Amino acid sequence: MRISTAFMYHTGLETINAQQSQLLHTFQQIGTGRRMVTPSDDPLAASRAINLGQSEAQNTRFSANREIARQALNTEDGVLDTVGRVLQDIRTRLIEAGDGGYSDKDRQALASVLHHAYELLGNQANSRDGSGQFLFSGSSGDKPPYKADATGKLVLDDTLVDGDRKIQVDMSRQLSSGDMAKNVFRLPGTTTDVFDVLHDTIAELGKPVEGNADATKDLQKRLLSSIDTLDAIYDNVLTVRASVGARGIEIDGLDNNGALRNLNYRKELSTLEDTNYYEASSLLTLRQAALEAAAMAFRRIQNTSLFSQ
Amino acid sequence: MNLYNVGLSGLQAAQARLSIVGHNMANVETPGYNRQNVLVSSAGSTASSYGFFGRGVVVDSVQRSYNGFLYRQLTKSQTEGASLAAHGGQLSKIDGVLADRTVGVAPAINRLFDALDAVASAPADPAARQELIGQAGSLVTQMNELGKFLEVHGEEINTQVRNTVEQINSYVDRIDDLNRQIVAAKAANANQPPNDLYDQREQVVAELNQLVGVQVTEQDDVFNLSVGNGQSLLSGGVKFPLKAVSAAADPHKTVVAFSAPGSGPDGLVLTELKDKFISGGTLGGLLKFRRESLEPMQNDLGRMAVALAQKFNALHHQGKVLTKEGEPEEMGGDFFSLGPVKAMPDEKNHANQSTGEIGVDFVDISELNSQDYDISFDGTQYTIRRLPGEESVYQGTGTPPPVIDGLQFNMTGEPKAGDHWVLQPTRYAAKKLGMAITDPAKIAAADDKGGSANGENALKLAQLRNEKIMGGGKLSVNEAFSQLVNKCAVQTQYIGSTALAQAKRISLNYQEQQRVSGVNLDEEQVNLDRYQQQFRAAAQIIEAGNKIFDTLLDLR
Repeated sequence: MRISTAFMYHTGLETINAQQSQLLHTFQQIGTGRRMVTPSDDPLAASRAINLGQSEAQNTRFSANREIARQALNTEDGVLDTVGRVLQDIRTRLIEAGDGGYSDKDRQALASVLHHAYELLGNQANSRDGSGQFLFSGSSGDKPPYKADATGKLVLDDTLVDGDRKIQVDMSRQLSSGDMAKNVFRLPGTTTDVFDVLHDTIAELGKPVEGNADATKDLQKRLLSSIDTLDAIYDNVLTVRASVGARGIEIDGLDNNGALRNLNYRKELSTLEDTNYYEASSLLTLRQAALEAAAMAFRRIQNTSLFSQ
Repeated sequence: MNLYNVGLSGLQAAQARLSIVGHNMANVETPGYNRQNVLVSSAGSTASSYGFFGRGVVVDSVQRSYNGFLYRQLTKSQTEGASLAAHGGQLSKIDGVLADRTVGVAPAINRLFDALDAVASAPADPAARQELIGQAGSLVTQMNELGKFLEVHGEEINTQVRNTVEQINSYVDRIDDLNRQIVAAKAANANQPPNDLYDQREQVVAELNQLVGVQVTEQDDVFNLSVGNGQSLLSGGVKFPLKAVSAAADPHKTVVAFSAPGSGPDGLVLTELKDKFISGGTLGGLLKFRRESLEPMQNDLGRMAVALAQKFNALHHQGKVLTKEGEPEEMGGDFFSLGPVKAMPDEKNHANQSTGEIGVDFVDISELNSQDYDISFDGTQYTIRRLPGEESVYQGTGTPPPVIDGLQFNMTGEPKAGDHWVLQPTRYAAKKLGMAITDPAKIAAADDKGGSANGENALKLAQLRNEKIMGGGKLSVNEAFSQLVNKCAVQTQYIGSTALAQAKRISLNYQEQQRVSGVNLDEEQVNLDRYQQQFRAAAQIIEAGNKIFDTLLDLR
């Protein structure tokens, strides 16, 4: 077959061009560390990487969300711990107050001690978080749950908007990061409020009963009833605290899952996107050799021309 | 018997052959050159009673080694190759822009939703709210930039279409000129072919085919040219130039118009040629890129912007903004802005003194596709067709039509019979996307119950990250973007590998054509030796004649 001189040069040039562009591609893969220099190198992997990138970003964000939930729950746990101790303390005092040997004066002194405890408890119920929001006011974070009325009694604000401050802690899990005052400081399902009961009890303690057997008996009866209510509310606080703890444990568990998932996403992304340097460098050597061979072959064929004899 | 004459005929034949060998060698790298050879035959013989005595050799003609089939095959593969190169070249620019998933739209989407999650987790935190406004703004910027990039790309295509059309016209001029030269050459020398003019004309036609696929019909040594589905460019010595014009239906777009005899200036009238009829060459590739790659991509990106903005706004309206003690409670307003979408009236509507307008509302985002619509009015009925497929989706009086592909068409004003509009519901949405709020307090993070620590609505908004709000409930916003990247990459890859296969085909066709028509210098070198020898031999004959003559003279 006749081969034209122009075609021979054309083929030589084409071959070298093709080899050179492949060599450049491998070089770019090594230089950038990216297996796909452009998405068209592997369209499916390119779009998978975008979707995986989102999953990875979201997973990282969930971890930040969990940190926020954990902090809120830790704060609440601390407050509930104090609330529990104050309630225990108050209980002890009330039992003391029921002692038959106490004088009116003794009881008045006790009432003053209890008043301090009452204020302390009130401060705890109106605790705020790091961004100044009241812990136990549900959605109405800028309103304190309890306000003192004219008699100094702390009354629950009934305009508070219900809300349990859900935080997205995982793809399919929203976790409540707060509890409302009515679920902490009241008997479940009733309007019996610890601040209400205590305020009345302290007022009772201030009244003189000395020498009046009926009044003393009556006071002791009231004290016993108050202690019962306080015990029930104390149990409720413990239950809420246990639920806070359980949520903390759930977060720890989700953290472990999240860390594992992150590792998997990274691994998958790396498989999709990163250059395998061993593979690429051996390919580079191979393509370099191919280019040199093509160039040499072209030169040899040129040398066989009659004009070069 | 004349030994001198026989020798002379040999000398002349050898000289002619040497001259053609030289011509071939000189043109070894000339594009479009077909190697030539000298046709010779025996000069015949003179009868005598002793027999017939040959008169030597005679040069009949110079012929080119040409095969029309191989030439056409090569040209056809080259026009397709040029089209693929233009299409692929444009695509790879976009492919390159979408190359890094860690910059641009995809991470901006992620950061918007991250910021939303942060607001949902701490709705009263002013820093979290400010961050959300910032990240939403940055997503808007990224969408705007990409939308703008694609739009500028479209403008570049317009410029290239204009330039290519001018080049095409100048090529047609050259072919017309060569037609005339060939006719003149043939008139002067009817029996001999003007080989080099033929070569030149075919080369110019081949180059024209690199710009656009043309059909050639030959009539009495004259080439007639047509383009598209038979629109004449050159016929019987009359030129019908193409013109780049703004499309009547879409002024953003430069299209090709052909001219035909009519009542316009120069006795010609211009008619728009539908893009799909133009194939082959750079022009065919550019138009195909615009039709099959760029515009669908603009629409896809716009659809993402519309879906995100509409869905986000709808949810945002259901929430409450952050208010201070004593301020009246307030529901959320628009978060993103999109601007109104209207159908573009054809330029003839205005001339018709029509006031008919067509607006559109997005009512069902999940049904929204990435197509355009052609709307026409016949005096009583509207017809709506999807573009580019032109399939009819509605015919009626338009008061109002049912929801089509998630779109509510609103016809207003006084349309006139023959009116025509084109609606591109999502084409420029990515560029037009904006922020409707800048005040962090206006983020409706709370649900309808309100409260500063209420992040219920922000939680719902954050869940849009994974919600399949597009494509009939199959695609989330992020997935829609990854699908766009995938589509572009698949097209780039496909066009790239098709172009490679086409390059192989061109190379094979070139080899075949060169097998017949190409110059091989080694062959010419051998011929050079051969014909020098013929020349020397012929000279020897004359020398022999001289010697015979001298011998006869010496006899005295």
